[in-house]
Amino acid sequence: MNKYFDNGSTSYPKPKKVAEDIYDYIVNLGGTYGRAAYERVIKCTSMVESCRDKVAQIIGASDGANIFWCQNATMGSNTVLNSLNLEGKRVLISPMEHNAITRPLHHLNVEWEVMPCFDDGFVDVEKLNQISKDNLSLIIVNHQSNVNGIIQPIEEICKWAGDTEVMVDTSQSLGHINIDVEKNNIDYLIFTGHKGLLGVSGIGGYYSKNPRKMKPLIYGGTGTSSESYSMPNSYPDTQEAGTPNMVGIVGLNSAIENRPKSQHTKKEVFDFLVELKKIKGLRVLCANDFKNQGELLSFYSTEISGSEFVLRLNRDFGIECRYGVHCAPLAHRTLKTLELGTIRVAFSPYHTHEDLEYLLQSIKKALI
Amino acid sequence: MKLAIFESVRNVTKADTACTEQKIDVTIVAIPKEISSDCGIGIKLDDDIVKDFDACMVEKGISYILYNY
Repeated sequence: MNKYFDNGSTSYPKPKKVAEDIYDYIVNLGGTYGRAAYERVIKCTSMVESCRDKVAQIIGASDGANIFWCQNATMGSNTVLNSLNLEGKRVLISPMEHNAITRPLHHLNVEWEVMPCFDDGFVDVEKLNQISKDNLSLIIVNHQSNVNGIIQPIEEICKWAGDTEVMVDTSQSLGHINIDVEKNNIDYLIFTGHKGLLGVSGIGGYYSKNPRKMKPLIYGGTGTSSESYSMPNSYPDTQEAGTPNMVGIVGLNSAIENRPKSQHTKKEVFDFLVELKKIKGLRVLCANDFKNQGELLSFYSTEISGSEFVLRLNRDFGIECRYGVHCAPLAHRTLKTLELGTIRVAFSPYHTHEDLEYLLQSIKKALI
Repeated sequence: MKLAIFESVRNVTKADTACTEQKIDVTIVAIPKEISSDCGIGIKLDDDIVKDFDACMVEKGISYILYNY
Protein backbone atom coordinates (compact mmCIF):
# COMPACT_ATOMS: atom_id res chain seq x y z
CA MET A 1 0.00 0.00 0.00
CA ASN A 2 1.40 3.41 -0.99
CA LYS A 3 0.17 5.92 1.59
CA TYR A 4 2.44 8.76 0.47
CA PHE A 5 0.31 11.48 -1.10
CA ASP A 6 2.63 14.47 -0.73
CA ASN A 7 3.92 14.32 -4.29
CA GLY A 8 3.06 17.99 -4.69
CA SER A 9 5.96 18.66 -2.30
CA THR A 10 8.29 16.03 -3.68
CA SER A 11 7.79 12.73 -5.42
CA TYR A 12 8.18 9.44 -3.60
CA PRO A 13 9.09 6.80 -4.42
CA LYS A 14 11.52 7.40 -7.26
CA PRO A 15 12.25 4.77 -9.90
CA LYS A 16 14.66 2.24 -8.34
CA LYS A 17 17.13 2.84 -11.17
CA VAL A 18 17.51 6.45 -9.99
CA ALA A 19 19.04 5.23 -6.74
CA GLU A 20 21.17 2.65 -8.57
CA ASP A 21 22.53 5.19 -11.06
CA ILE A 22 23.27 7.73 -8.33
CA TYR A 23 25.09 5.03 -6.36
CA ASP A 24 27.02 4.05 -9.47
CA TYR A 25 27.95 7.67 -10.08
CA ILE A 26 29.20 8.17 -6.54
CA VAL A 27 31.04 4.85 -6.23
CA ASN A 28 32.27 4.15 -9.73
CA LEU A 29 32.04 7.11 -12.07
CA GLY A 30 32.54 10.34 -10.14
CA GLY A 31 33.88 13.16 -12.22
CA THR A 32 32.87 16.71 -12.97
CA TYR A 33 31.37 18.60 -15.88
CA GLY A 34 33.48 19.90 -18.75
CA ARG A 35 36.57 20.87 -16.79
CA ALA A 36 39.05 18.32 -18.13
CA ALA A 37 39.65 15.93 -21.02
CA TYR A 38 39.96 12.52 -19.35
CA GLU A 39 37.36 9.84 -19.95
CA ARG A 40 35.58 10.13 -16.61
CA VAL A 41 34.83 13.81 -17.22
CA ILE A 42 33.89 13.22 -20.83
CA LYS A 43 31.34 10.58 -19.76
CA CYS A 44 29.89 12.89 -17.11
CA THR A 45 29.75 15.85 -19.48
CA SER A 46 28.00 13.79 -22.13
CA MET A 47 25.48 12.60 -19.56
CA VAL A 48 24.73 16.19 -18.47
CA GLU A 49 24.19 17.26 -22.08
CA SER A 50 22.13 14.17 -22.86
CA CYS A 51 19.87 14.98 -19.90
CA ARG A 52 19.59 18.58 -21.09
CA ASP A 53 18.45 17.28 -24.48
CA LYS A 54 15.92 14.98 -22.82
CA VAL A 55 14.37 17.88 -20.91
CA ALA A 56 14.30 19.91 -24.13
CA GLN A 57 12.46 17.09 -25.85
CA ILE A 58 9.90 16.86 -23.02
CA ILE A 59 9.01 20.55 -23.31
CA GLY A 60 9.10 20.69 -27.10
CA ALA A 61 12.34 22.70 -27.45
CA SER A 62 14.33 21.72 -30.53
CA ASP A 63 17.69 22.71 -29.01
CA GLY A 64 18.92 21.67 -25.56
CA ALA A 65 21.16 24.77 -25.53
CA ASN A 66 18.07 26.73 -24.50
CA ILE A 67 17.82 24.74 -21.26
CA PHE A 68 19.77 25.94 -18.21
CA TRP A 69 20.40 24.01 -15.01
CA CYS A 70 19.89 25.49 -11.59
CA GLN A 71 18.64 24.29 -8.21
CA ASN A 72 14.91 24.35 -8.77
CA ALA A 73 12.04 26.21 -10.43
CA THR A 74 12.28 28.98 -7.83
CA MET A 75 15.86 29.72 -8.82
CA GLY A 76 14.78 29.57 -12.44
CA SER A 77 12.03 32.08 -11.76
CA ASN A 78 14.45 34.40 -9.95
CA THR A 79 16.94 34.17 -12.82
CA VAL A 80 14.36 34.97 -15.48
CA LEU A 81 12.70 37.80 -13.54
CA ASN A 82 16.05 39.34 -12.65
CA SER A 83 17.07 39.23 -16.31
CA LEU A 84 14.10 41.27 -17.46
CA ASN A 85 13.89 44.96 -16.88
CA LEU A 86 10.40 45.04 -15.40
CA GLU A 87 10.62 48.35 -13.58
CA GLY A 88 7.68 50.54 -14.55
CA LYS A 89 6.28 47.80 -16.78
CA ARG A 90 3.02 45.90 -16.44
CA VAL A 91 3.10 42.22 -15.51
CA LEU A 92 0.01 40.01 -15.72
CA ILE A 93 -0.06 36.81 -13.71
CA SER A 94 -2.47 33.92 -13.36
CA PRO A 95 -4.70 33.82 -10.25
CA MET A 96 -3.02 30.63 -8.97
CA GLU A 97 0.62 31.71 -8.74
CA HIS A 98 3.02 30.33 -6.16
CA ASN A 99 5.37 32.40 -4.02
CA ALA A 100 8.15 31.31 -6.40
CA ILE A 101 6.68 33.97 -8.68
CA THR A 102 5.07 36.53 -6.39
CA ARG A 103 7.96 36.89 -3.94
CA PRO A 104 10.60 37.66 -6.59
CA LEU A 105 8.17 40.10 -8.25
CA HIS A 106 7.52 41.75 -4.89
CA HIS A 107 11.25 41.93 -4.20
CA LEU A 108 11.75 43.61 -7.58
CA ASN A 109 9.01 46.14 -6.71
CA VAL A 110 6.91 44.92 -9.61
CA GLU A 111 3.19 45.43 -9.14
CA TRP A 112 1.27 42.70 -10.87
CA GLU A 113 -2.24 42.41 -12.22
CA VAL A 114 -4.17 39.15 -11.91
CA MET A 115 -5.94 37.52 -14.84
CA PRO A 116 -9.73 37.21 -14.69
CA CYS A 117 -10.86 33.73 -13.73
CA PHE A 118 -13.72 31.46 -12.72
CA ASP A 119 -14.24 30.48 -9.07
CA ASP A 120 -11.95 27.44 -9.44
CA GLY A 121 -9.07 29.66 -10.58
CA PHE A 122 -9.33 28.67 -14.25
CA VAL A 123 -8.40 31.67 -16.37
CA ASP A 124 -11.36 33.22 -18.20
CA VAL A 125 -9.81 33.54 -21.65
CA GLU A 126 -12.72 35.53 -23.08
CA LYS A 127 -12.30 38.20 -20.42
CA LEU A 128 -8.60 38.50 -21.24
CA ASN A 129 -9.68 40.42 -24.29
CA GLN A 130 -10.85 43.23 -22.00
CA ILE A 131 -7.30 43.71 -20.71
CA SER A 132 -5.12 46.30 -22.40
CA LYS A 133 -1.71 45.17 -23.58
CA ASP A 134 -0.26 48.69 -23.40
CA ASN A 135 3.10 48.54 -21.66
CA LEU A 136 2.40 44.89 -20.81
CA SER A 137 5.83 43.36 -20.54
CA LEU A 138 5.32 39.84 -19.23
CA ILE A 139 2.57 37.27 -18.69
CA ILE A 140 3.17 34.54 -16.10
CA VAL A 141 1.10 31.37 -15.95
CA ASN A 142 1.19 28.54 -13.45
CA HIS A 143 0.58 25.50 -15.66
CA GLN A 144 -0.94 23.32 -12.92
CA SER A 145 -1.91 24.74 -9.56
CA ASN A 146 -0.19 23.30 -6.50
CA VAL A 147 -3.38 23.97 -4.50
CA ASN A 148 -6.29 22.55 -6.50
CA GLY A 149 -4.53 21.01 -9.50
CA ILE A 150 -6.25 23.19 -12.07
CA ILE A 151 -4.58 23.08 -15.49
CA GLN A 152 -4.58 26.46 -17.20
CA PRO A 153 -5.40 26.92 -20.89
CA ILE A 154 -1.82 27.63 -21.93
CA GLU A 155 -2.49 27.46 -25.65
CA GLU A 156 -5.30 30.04 -25.52
CA ILE A 157 -3.39 32.34 -23.17
CA CYS A 158 -0.33 32.22 -25.43
CA LYS A 159 -2.49 32.98 -28.47
CA TRP A 160 -3.96 35.99 -26.68
CA ALA A 161 -0.48 37.09 -25.55
CA GLY A 162 0.69 37.58 -29.13
CA ASP A 163 4.01 39.40 -29.02
CA THR A 164 3.99 39.84 -25.23
CA GLU A 165 6.46 37.52 -23.53
CA VAL A 166 5.05 34.53 -21.64
CA MET A 167 6.64 32.61 -18.79
CA VAL A 168 5.17 29.27 -17.66
CA ASP A 169 5.77 27.64 -14.28
CA THR A 170 5.65 23.86 -14.78
CA SER A 171 6.69 22.89 -11.25
CA GLN A 172 3.62 20.69 -10.74
CA SER A 173 2.85 19.75 -14.31
CA LEU A 174 6.06 18.60 -15.98
CA GLY A 175 6.09 14.83 -16.20
CA HIS A 176 2.30 14.69 -15.90
CA ILE A 177 1.06 17.04 -18.61
CA ASN A 178 2.48 17.76 -22.05
CA ILE A 179 3.65 21.22 -22.98
CA ASP A 180 5.22 22.50 -26.18
CA VAL A 181 7.22 25.72 -25.86
CA GLU A 182 7.79 26.15 -29.57
CA LYS A 183 4.27 25.40 -30.72
CA ASN A 184 2.89 27.84 -28.14
CA ASN A 185 5.66 30.41 -28.59
CA ILE A 186 6.51 30.34 -24.87
CA ASP A 187 9.45 32.59 -24.00
CA TYR A 188 10.42 31.19 -20.60
CA LEU A 189 9.59 27.97 -18.79
CA ILE A 190 10.73 27.01 -15.31
CA PHE A 191 10.82 23.44 -14.04
CA THR A 192 11.93 21.26 -11.19
CA GLY A 193 13.33 17.74 -11.37
CA HIS A 194 12.00 16.20 -8.18
CA LYS A 195 8.23 16.36 -8.59
CA GLY A 196 6.48 15.04 -11.70
CA LEU A 197 9.76 14.10 -13.36
CA LEU A 198 10.56 11.78 -10.38
CA GLY A 199 14.17 12.91 -9.98
CA VAL A 200 15.84 14.02 -6.77
CA SER A 201 15.59 17.45 -5.17
CA GLY A 202 18.18 20.14 -5.85
CA ILE A 203 18.04 20.01 -9.63
CA GLY A 204 15.76 22.07 -11.84
CA GLY A 205 16.14 24.71 -14.45
CA TYR A 206 14.60 26.97 -17.01
CA TYR A 207 14.11 27.34 -20.73
CA SER A 208 14.68 30.61 -22.52
CA LYS A 209 13.66 31.07 -26.15
CA ASN A 210 16.31 33.73 -26.50
CA PRO A 211 19.19 32.89 -24.14
CA ARG A 212 21.06 36.06 -25.14
CA LYS A 213 18.49 38.03 -23.13
CA MET A 214 19.34 36.17 -19.94
CA LYS A 215 21.59 37.62 -17.27
CA PRO A 216 23.44 35.39 -14.81
CA LEU A 217 22.00 35.24 -11.32
CA ILE A 218 25.34 34.10 -9.93
CA TYR A 219 28.86 34.63 -11.23
CA GLY A 220 31.88 32.35 -11.11
CA GLY A 221 33.94 29.70 -12.82
CA THR A 222 32.68 27.86 -15.87
CA GLY A 223 35.84 26.17 -17.11
CA THR A 224 35.71 28.47 -20.12
CA SER A 225 37.25 31.89 -20.86
CA SER A 226 39.08 31.40 -17.60
CA GLU A 227 41.49 34.33 -18.06
CA SER A 228 38.62 36.80 -18.06
CA TYR A 229 37.02 38.27 -14.93
CA SER A 230 33.75 38.45 -16.88
CA MET A 231 31.38 35.59 -17.51
CA PRO A 232 31.71 34.01 -20.97
CA ASN A 233 29.21 35.01 -23.65
CA SER A 234 28.60 31.45 -24.78
CA TYR A 235 25.63 29.62 -23.40
CA PRO A 236 24.71 27.57 -21.45
CA ASP A 237 28.05 28.46 -19.78
CA THR A 238 27.12 32.09 -19.20
CA GLN A 239 24.25 31.01 -16.92
CA GLU A 240 25.90 28.08 -15.16
CA ALA A 241 28.70 29.28 -12.88
CA GLY A 242 30.15 26.67 -10.58
CA THR A 243 30.05 22.90 -10.73
CA PRO A 244 26.54 21.71 -11.50
CA ASN A 245 24.61 19.33 -9.27
CA MET A 246 26.03 16.16 -10.83
CA VAL A 247 24.17 13.78 -8.52
CA GLY A 248 20.93 15.62 -9.25
CA ILE A 249 21.46 15.47 -13.00
CA VAL A 250 22.41 11.77 -12.86
CA GLY A 251 19.18 11.16 -10.95
CA LEU A 252 17.06 13.23 -13.30
CA ASN A 253 18.56 11.57 -16.36
CA SER A 254 17.79 8.18 -14.90
CA ALA A 255 14.28 9.19 -13.82
CA ILE A 256 13.43 10.34 -17.34
CA GLU A 257 14.88 7.17 -18.88
CA ASN A 258 13.08 4.90 -16.43
CA ARG A 259 9.72 6.57 -15.97
CA PRO A 260 7.16 3.99 -14.84
CA LYS A 261 3.81 3.54 -16.53
CA SER A 262 1.04 4.93 -14.36
CA GLN A 263 -0.62 2.27 -12.24
CA HIS A 264 -3.92 4.15 -12.20
CA THR A 265 -6.05 5.81 -14.84
CA LYS A 266 -7.30 9.36 -15.16
CA LYS A 267 -10.81 8.00 -14.81
CA GLU A 268 -9.91 6.46 -11.45
CA VAL A 269 -8.73 9.88 -10.26
CA PHE A 270 -11.96 11.48 -11.45
CA ASP A 271 -14.01 8.72 -9.82
CA PHE A 272 -12.08 9.37 -6.60
CA LEU A 273 -12.96 13.07 -6.86
CA VAL A 274 -16.63 12.34 -7.43
CA GLU A 275 -16.73 10.13 -4.33
CA LEU A 276 -14.76 12.67 -2.31
CA LYS A 277 -17.26 15.39 -3.16
CA LYS A 278 -20.07 13.24 -1.75
CA ILE A 279 -18.57 13.22 1.75
CA LYS A 280 -20.64 15.31 4.14
CA GLY A 281 -18.72 18.09 5.84
CA LEU A 282 -15.91 18.02 3.29
CA ARG A 283 -15.18 20.77 0.78
CA VAL A 284 -13.10 19.70 -2.19
CA LEU A 285 -11.00 22.16 -4.17
CA CYS A 286 -10.64 21.04 -7.75
CA ALA A 287 -11.55 22.09 -11.29
CA ASN A 288 -15.20 22.73 -12.08
CA ASP A 289 -14.64 20.79 -15.29
CA PHE A 290 -12.55 17.64 -14.84
CA LYS A 291 -10.94 18.13 -18.24
CA ASN A 292 -8.96 20.95 -16.55
CA GLN A 293 -7.99 18.80 -13.56
CA GLY A 294 -4.51 17.50 -12.81
CA GLU A 295 -3.66 14.70 -10.39
CA LEU A 296 -3.50 16.99 -7.38
CA LEU A 297 -6.30 18.42 -5.23
CA SER A 298 -7.09 19.94 -1.87
CA PHE A 299 -9.88 19.62 0.65
CA TYR A 300 -10.87 20.80 4.08
CA SER A 301 -13.42 19.86 6.69
CA THR A 302 -16.18 22.21 7.76
CA GLU A 303 -16.28 20.34 11.10
CA ILE A 304 -12.68 19.90 12.30
CA SER A 305 -9.53 21.95 11.88
CA GLY A 306 -7.08 21.14 9.10
CA SER A 307 -4.40 20.53 11.71
CA GLU A 308 -6.52 17.93 13.51
CA PHE A 309 -7.72 16.40 10.24
CA VAL A 310 -4.24 15.87 8.83
CA LEU A 311 -3.06 14.53 12.19
CA ARG A 312 -5.84 11.92 12.20
CA LEU A 313 -5.07 10.92 8.63
CA ASN A 314 -1.44 10.34 9.50
CA ARG A 315 -1.74 8.93 13.02
CA ASP A 316 -4.71 6.65 12.43
CA PHE A 317 -4.27 5.68 8.78
CA GLY A 318 -0.60 6.35 7.93
CA ILE A 319 -1.56 8.84 5.21
CA GLU A 320 1.26 11.29 4.45
CA CYS A 321 0.04 14.58 3.06
CA ARG A 322 0.41 18.29 3.71
CA TYR A 323 -1.81 20.86 5.38
CA GLY A 324 -1.42 24.62 5.03
CA VAL A 325 -1.24 27.37 2.45
CA HIS A 326 1.27 25.50 0.28
CA CYS A 327 3.29 28.68 -0.36
CA ALA A 328 0.51 29.94 -2.61
CA PRO A 329 -1.40 32.73 -0.82
CA LEU A 330 -2.59 34.23 -4.10
CA ALA A 331 -4.17 30.91 -5.11
CA HIS A 332 -5.89 30.69 -1.72
CA ARG A 333 -7.18 34.25 -2.07
CA THR A 334 -8.62 33.24 -5.43
CA LEU A 335 -10.25 30.15 -3.91
CA LYS A 336 -11.24 32.00 -0.71
CA THR A 337 -9.39 29.53 1.52
CA LEU A 338 -6.53 31.70 2.77
CA GLU A 339 -7.87 31.81 6.35
CA LEU A 340 -8.42 28.05 6.53
CA GLY A 341 -5.63 26.47 4.54
CA THR A 342 -6.21 23.09 2.89
CA ILE A 343 -5.07 19.50 3.02
CA ARG A 344 -3.44 18.59 -0.27
CA VAL A 345 -3.00 15.20 -1.90
CA ALA A 346 -1.11 14.56 -5.13
CA PHE A 347 -0.80 11.29 -6.95
CA SER A 348 2.22 9.68 -8.55
CA PRO A 349 2.44 7.03 -11.27
CA TYR A 350 3.05 4.50 -8.48
CA HIS A 351 -0.42 4.90 -6.96
CA THR A 352 -2.85 2.10 -7.69
CA HIS A 353 -6.64 2.07 -7.66
CA GLU A 354 -6.40 0.39 -4.24
CA ASP A 355 -4.24 3.25 -2.90
CA LEU A 356 -6.83 5.79 -4.03
CA GLU A 357 -9.60 3.73 -2.46
CA TYR A 358 -7.65 3.47 0.81
CA LEU A 359 -7.20 7.26 0.83
CA LEU A 360 -10.91 7.79 0.21
CA GLN A 361 -11.96 5.46 3.04
CA SER A 362 -9.34 6.99 5.38
CA ILE A 363 -10.71 10.48 4.76
CA LYS A 364 -14.25 9.28 5.48
CA LYS A 365 -13.23 7.54 8.71
CA ALA A 366 -11.04 10.45 9.88
CA LEU A 367 -14.09 12.71 9.84
CA ILE A 368 -16.15 10.47 12.11
CA MET B 1 47.23 17.41 -36.68
CA LYS B 2 44.39 19.89 -36.09
CA LEU B 3 42.50 21.15 -33.07
CA ALA B 4 38.85 22.19 -33.26
CA ILE B 5 37.60 24.55 -30.62
CA PHE B 6 33.99 25.32 -29.85
CA GLU B 7 32.09 28.07 -28.10
CA SER B 8 30.87 25.86 -25.27
CA VAL B 9 31.51 22.60 -23.47
CA ARG B 10 28.10 21.47 -24.66
CA ASN B 11 29.18 21.80 -28.28
CA VAL B 12 32.37 19.80 -27.63
CA THR B 13 30.30 16.87 -26.38
CA LYS B 14 27.79 17.25 -29.21
CA ALA B 15 30.65 17.20 -31.72
CA ASP B 16 32.29 14.21 -30.03
CA THR B 17 29.01 12.27 -30.00
CA ALA B 18 28.38 13.10 -33.67
CA CYS B 19 31.88 11.93 -34.61
CA THR B 20 31.43 8.69 -32.68
CA GLU B 21 28.12 8.05 -34.49
CA GLN B 22 29.78 8.61 -37.87
CA LYS B 23 32.91 6.64 -36.91
CA ILE B 24 35.19 9.67 -37.25
CA ASP B 25 38.17 9.08 -34.99
CA VAL B 26 38.74 12.15 -32.80
CA THR B 27 39.97 12.81 -29.27
CA ILE B 28 38.84 15.34 -26.69
CA VAL B 29 41.86 17.20 -25.31
CA ALA B 30 42.60 20.14 -23.03
CA ILE B 31 43.15 23.23 -25.19
CA PRO B 32 46.70 24.59 -25.08
CA LYS B 33 46.63 28.05 -23.54
CA GLU B 34 48.57 29.53 -26.46
CA ILE B 35 45.69 28.64 -28.78
CA SER B 36 42.66 29.79 -26.84
CA SER B 37 41.01 29.93 -23.45
CA ASP B 38 37.53 30.15 -24.91
CA CYS B 39 36.74 26.61 -23.93
CA GLY B 40 38.79 24.39 -21.67
CA ILE B 41 38.45 21.38 -23.93
CA GLY B 42 38.48 20.87 -27.68
CA ILE B 43 38.73 18.11 -30.26
CA LYS B 44 41.98 16.85 -31.77
CA LEU B 45 41.86 15.26 -35.22
CA ASP B 46 44.21 14.03 -37.93
CA ASP B 47 44.69 16.18 -41.02
CA ASP B 48 43.28 13.51 -43.33
CA ILE B 49 39.85 13.50 -41.68
CA VAL B 50 39.29 17.27 -41.62
CA LYS B 51 36.90 17.06 -44.58
CA ASP B 52 34.79 14.33 -42.96
CA PHE B 53 34.85 16.18 -39.66
CA ASP B 54 33.69 19.41 -41.28
CA ALA B 55 30.88 17.65 -43.13
CA CYS B 56 29.75 16.10 -39.87
CA MET B 57 29.79 19.46 -38.06
CA VAL B 58 27.88 21.15 -40.90
CA GLU B 59 25.30 18.37 -40.82
CA LYS B 60 24.82 18.81 -37.06
CA GLY B 61 24.92 22.62 -37.17
CA ILE B 62 27.89 22.86 -34.81
CA SER B 63 30.26 25.77 -35.42
CA TYR B 64 33.96 25.54 -34.61
CA ILE B 65 37.33 27.07 -35.38
CA LEU B 66 40.20 24.89 -36.60
CA TYR B 67 43.81 25.44 -35.48
CA ASN B 68 47.05 23.70 -36.32
CA TYR B 69 48.05 21.54 -33.39
